Amino acid sequence: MLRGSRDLRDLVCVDVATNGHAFQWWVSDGNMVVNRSIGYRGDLIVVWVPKGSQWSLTLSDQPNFRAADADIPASDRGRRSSGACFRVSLVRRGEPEGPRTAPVGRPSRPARLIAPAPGLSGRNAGKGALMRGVADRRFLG
Amino acid sequence: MATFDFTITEAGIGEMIGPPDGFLVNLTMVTPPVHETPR
Repeated sequence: MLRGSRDLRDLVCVDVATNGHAFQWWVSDGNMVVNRSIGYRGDLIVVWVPKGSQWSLTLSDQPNFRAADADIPASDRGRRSSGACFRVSLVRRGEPEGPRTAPVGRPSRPARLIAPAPGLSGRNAGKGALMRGVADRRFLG
Repeated sequence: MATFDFTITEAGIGEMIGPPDGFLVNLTMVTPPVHETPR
Protein backbone atom coordinates (compact mmCIF):
# COMPACT_ATOMS: atom_id res chain seq x y z
CA MET A 1 0.00 0.00 0.00
CA LEU A 2 1.36 3.38 -1.01
CA ARG A 3 0.06 6.70 0.18
CA GLY A 4 1.12 10.30 -0.22
CA SER A 5 1.99 11.98 3.06
CA ARG A 6 -0.51 14.73 2.34
CA ASP A 7 -3.12 12.57 0.66
CA LEU A 8 -6.40 11.71 2.32
CA ARG A 9 -6.64 8.29 0.73
CA ASP A 10 -4.33 5.55 -0.43
CA LEU A 11 -2.56 5.99 -3.72
CA VAL A 12 -2.22 2.29 -4.38
CA CYS A 13 -3.64 -0.57 -2.36
CA VAL A 14 -2.91 -3.87 -4.00
CA ASP A 15 -4.76 -6.94 -2.95
CA VAL A 16 -2.76 -9.61 -4.68
CA ALA A 17 -5.51 -12.17 -4.30
CA THR A 18 -8.14 -10.10 -6.05
CA ASN A 19 -5.94 -8.06 -8.36
CA GLY A 20 -6.51 -4.34 -8.03
CA HIS A 21 -7.76 -1.27 -9.74
CA ALA A 22 -5.81 0.65 -12.36
CA PHE A 23 -3.47 -2.24 -12.96
CA GLN A 24 -2.89 -4.53 -15.83
CA TRP A 25 -1.57 -8.00 -15.31
CA TRP A 26 0.82 -9.22 -17.93
CA VAL A 27 0.25 -12.81 -18.96
CA SER A 28 0.73 -14.95 -15.85
CA ASP A 29 4.12 -13.87 -14.60
CA GLY A 30 2.61 -11.88 -11.76
CA ASN A 31 3.97 -8.54 -12.87
CA MET A 32 1.72 -5.57 -13.12
CA VAL A 33 2.17 -2.16 -14.59
CA VAL A 34 0.41 1.09 -13.87
CA ASN A 35 -1.06 2.22 -17.14
CA ARG A 36 -0.95 5.91 -16.42
CA SER A 37 0.58 8.19 -13.89
CA ILE A 38 -1.07 8.60 -10.53
CA GLY A 39 -0.36 11.84 -8.73
CA TYR A 40 0.27 12.07 -5.01
CA ARG A 41 0.79 14.94 -2.58
CA GLY A 42 3.79 15.13 -0.31
CA ASP A 43 6.24 12.26 -0.08
CA LEU A 44 5.25 8.75 -0.95
CA ILE A 45 4.94 6.49 2.08
CA VAL A 46 5.26 2.72 1.94
CA VAL A 47 2.50 1.72 4.30
CA TRP A 48 2.80 -2.02 3.94
CA VAL A 49 4.15 -4.63 1.56
CA PRO A 50 2.82 -8.15 1.01
CA LYS A 51 5.00 -10.57 2.91
CA GLY A 52 8.02 -11.72 0.97
CA SER A 53 7.22 -9.69 -2.14
CA GLN A 54 9.49 -7.28 -3.96
CA TRP A 55 8.33 -4.39 -6.09
CA SER A 56 9.93 -2.17 -8.65
CA LEU A 57 8.67 1.37 -8.47
CA THR A 58 9.21 4.34 -10.76
CA LEU A 59 8.27 7.85 -9.72
CA SER A 60 8.33 10.98 -11.81
CA ASP A 61 8.09 14.67 -11.16
CA GLN A 62 5.90 15.09 -14.21
CA PRO A 63 2.73 13.25 -15.18
CA ASN A 64 3.11 10.58 -17.76
CA PHE A 65 1.01 11.67 -20.70
CA ARG A 66 0.71 8.40 -22.46
CA ALA A 67 -2.04 7.94 -24.95
CA ALA A 68 -4.60 5.99 -23.01
CA ASP A 69 -6.01 4.39 -26.15
CA ALA A 70 -2.64 2.94 -27.07
CA ASP A 71 -3.31 0.04 -24.72
CA ILE A 72 -6.79 -0.57 -26.05
CA PRO A 73 -7.32 -2.77 -29.11
CA ALA A 74 -8.08 -0.97 -32.33
CA SER A 75 -11.62 -2.33 -32.43
CA ASP A 76 -12.43 -0.86 -29.03
CA ARG A 77 -10.75 2.42 -29.90
CA GLY A 78 -13.03 2.91 -32.88
CA ARG A 79 -16.09 2.02 -30.88
CA ARG A 80 -15.19 4.39 -28.09
CA SER A 81 -14.40 7.38 -30.30
CA SER A 82 -17.47 7.08 -32.50
CA GLY A 83 -20.68 8.60 -31.26
CA ALA A 84 -22.66 7.09 -34.10
CA CYS A 85 -22.92 3.76 -32.32
CA PHE A 86 -24.75 5.34 -29.38
CA ARG A 87 -27.06 7.28 -31.65
CA VAL A 88 -28.02 4.24 -33.69
CA SER A 89 -28.75 2.23 -30.56
CA LEU A 90 -31.54 4.66 -29.66
CA VAL A 91 -33.43 4.03 -32.90
CA ARG A 92 -35.92 1.22 -32.64
CA ARG A 93 -35.94 -1.46 -35.23
CA GLY A 94 -38.48 -0.97 -37.97
CA GLU A 95 -39.09 2.68 -37.19
CA PRO A 96 -38.06 5.37 -39.61
CA GLU A 97 -35.43 7.65 -38.25
CA GLY A 98 -36.67 11.20 -37.90
CA PRO A 99 -38.59 13.59 -35.66
CA ARG A 100 -41.64 12.14 -33.98
CA THR A 101 -44.99 13.91 -33.83
CA ALA A 102 -47.42 13.72 -30.98
CA PRO A 103 -50.63 11.73 -31.67
CA VAL A 104 -53.61 13.91 -32.63
CA GLY A 105 -56.89 13.58 -30.69
CA ARG A 106 -57.78 11.64 -27.59
CA PRO A 107 -57.07 7.94 -27.59
CA SER A 108 -60.24 5.86 -27.64
CA ARG A 109 -61.24 4.09 -24.44
CA PRO A 110 -61.78 0.37 -24.41
CA ALA A 111 -65.42 -0.73 -24.39
CA ARG A 112 -66.97 -1.54 -21.01
CA LEU A 113 -67.14 -5.19 -20.33
CA ILE A 114 -70.02 -4.95 -17.80
CA ALA A 115 -73.00 -2.75 -18.45
CA PRO A 116 -74.27 -0.65 -15.50
CA ALA A 117 -77.48 -1.71 -13.80
CA PRO A 118 -80.71 -0.11 -15.06
CA GLY A 119 -81.40 3.22 -13.40
CA LEU A 120 -77.91 3.57 -12.13
CA SER A 121 -75.21 5.53 -13.82
CA GLY A 122 -72.03 7.27 -12.98
CA ARG A 123 -70.87 6.90 -9.39
CA ASN A 124 -74.04 5.06 -8.38
CA ALA A 125 -73.16 2.24 -10.74
CA GLY A 126 -70.63 0.88 -8.27
CA LYS A 127 -70.95 -2.34 -6.37
CA GLY A 128 -71.61 -0.57 -3.07
CA ALA A 129 -74.54 1.34 -4.53
CA LEU A 130 -76.06 -1.85 -5.86
CA MET A 131 -75.78 -3.51 -2.44
CA ARG A 132 -77.32 -0.51 -0.74
CA GLY A 133 -80.18 -0.61 -3.20
CA VAL A 134 -80.86 -4.25 -2.44
CA ALA A 135 -80.78 -3.57 1.31
CA ASP A 136 -83.18 -0.64 0.98
CA ARG A 137 -85.64 -2.70 -0.97
CA ARG A 138 -85.39 -5.48 1.62
CA PHE A 139 -86.26 -3.16 4.52
CA LEU A 140 -88.92 -1.33 2.61
CA GLY A 141 -90.61 -4.62 1.91
CA MET B 1 11.08 15.11 -16.71
CA ALA B 2 13.06 13.17 -14.14
CA THR B 3 12.25 9.63 -13.10
CA PHE B 4 13.30 7.81 -9.95
CA ASP B 5 13.46 4.04 -9.67
CA PHE B 6 13.01 2.26 -6.37
CA THR B 7 12.81 -1.29 -5.13
CA ILE B 8 10.36 -1.90 -2.33
CA THR B 9 10.49 -4.81 0.09
CA GLU B 10 9.23 -5.45 3.58
CA ALA B 11 12.27 -3.61 4.88
CA GLY B 12 10.98 -0.43 3.26
CA ILE B 13 7.75 -0.26 5.22
CA GLY B 14 7.35 3.18 6.74
CA GLU B 15 9.86 4.86 4.45
CA MET B 16 9.08 8.08 2.66
CA ILE B 17 10.39 8.00 -0.87
CA GLY B 18 10.31 9.89 -4.11
CA PRO B 19 10.05 13.48 -5.17
CA PRO B 20 7.36 15.44 -3.34
CA ASP B 21 4.12 15.95 -5.23
CA GLY B 22 5.23 13.46 -7.85
CA PHE B 23 3.56 10.83 -9.94
CA LEU B 24 3.62 7.06 -9.83
CA VAL B 25 4.28 5.96 -13.38
CA ASN B 26 5.26 2.33 -12.98
CA LEU B 27 4.75 -0.39 -10.42
CA THR B 28 5.88 -3.92 -11.08
CA MET B 29 5.83 -6.90 -8.77
CA VAL B 30 9.24 -8.49 -9.10
CA THR B 31 8.82 -11.23 -6.54
CA PRO B 32 5.38 -12.54 -5.58
CA PRO B 33 4.40 -12.75 -1.93
CA VAL B 34 4.78 -15.96 -0.03
CA HIS B 35 1.67 -17.87 0.85
CA GLU B 36 1.37 -18.45 4.53
CA THR B 37 0.07 -21.80 5.59
CA PRO B 38 -2.54 -21.95 8.33
CA ARG B 39 -1.30 -23.05 11.74
